Amino acid sequence: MMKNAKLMFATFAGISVLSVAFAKANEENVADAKMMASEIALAQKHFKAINETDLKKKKALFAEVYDPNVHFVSPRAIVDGRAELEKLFDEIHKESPGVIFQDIGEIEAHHDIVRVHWATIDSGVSNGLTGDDFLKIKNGKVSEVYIIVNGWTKASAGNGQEK
Amino acid sequence: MTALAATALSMSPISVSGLIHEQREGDVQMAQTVETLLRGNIHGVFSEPDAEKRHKAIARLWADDGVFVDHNDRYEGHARIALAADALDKKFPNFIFTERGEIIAIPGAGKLNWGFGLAGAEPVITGSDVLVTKGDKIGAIYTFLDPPKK
Repeated sequence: MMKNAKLMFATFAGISVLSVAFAKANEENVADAKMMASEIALAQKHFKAINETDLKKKKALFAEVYDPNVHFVSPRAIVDGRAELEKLFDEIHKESPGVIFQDIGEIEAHHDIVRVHWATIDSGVSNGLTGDDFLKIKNGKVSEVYIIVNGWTKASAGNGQEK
Repeated sequence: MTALAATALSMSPISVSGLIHEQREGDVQMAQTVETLLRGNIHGVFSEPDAEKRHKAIARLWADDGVFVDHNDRYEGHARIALAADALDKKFPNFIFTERGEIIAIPGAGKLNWGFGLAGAEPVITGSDVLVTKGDKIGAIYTFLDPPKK
């Protein structure tokens, strides 16, 4: 009983200290808040860029979003440089017309890194594949991208593999 | 074939067999390294109560110029990473990290979802570590806390 009470107290103490930590983390000063807002906007543009199929618009978006020497790591390929990254997404769009990456949930940013959660949408319908992108920002551009694919949700696994 | 874009970046059987480059022995070894490093860091460094063991684990796992970034700060090098780990141990001496779900490894990088709390209890907080390797050591870990459940 005493042990349980101690455990509960320790847990509550932990929660309250962590809540304070959260509150502190959320109390960004104006400069930090602005920086975070711009990094979140950049992450949203990252999705716009990789989903864009008009070559001219895509080039402009890639120039806006990615560092010329961007380092891109995914299960499919490791790519270095903006031009190579453009080529990779050209291939992906040719292979899979109509499929886009949609950001879902909250985009989080701190200390020049951003986490975004995504799902793939096939012709307007979620096909059940989800993942996380981790972006590193340098001088206002995305300099590193790590694509983590979490997998197919169970309900859609069969559909995804049949197509 | 419309799911190909999805599979292009996925771990599905289709992409593993075709679109993702073939699983060579080196890749498997790399994946094992990523997993070992991710696990070693949460258990051997950030859950280790003994400071000496903790510091030895940092030296063993982290590159000399490794960078650890969490919501509080950016810590570069063994001494700074030790400061971060020591501070967490001091603040939450009985808390440990536990793994949640499977580690996902890609060449040279990987992600581990974790919980943090008292051993045997529900985690008080959850989050993710994404790791980037440098040689066979940790080059960087970027940590994100999950937002509190609404």
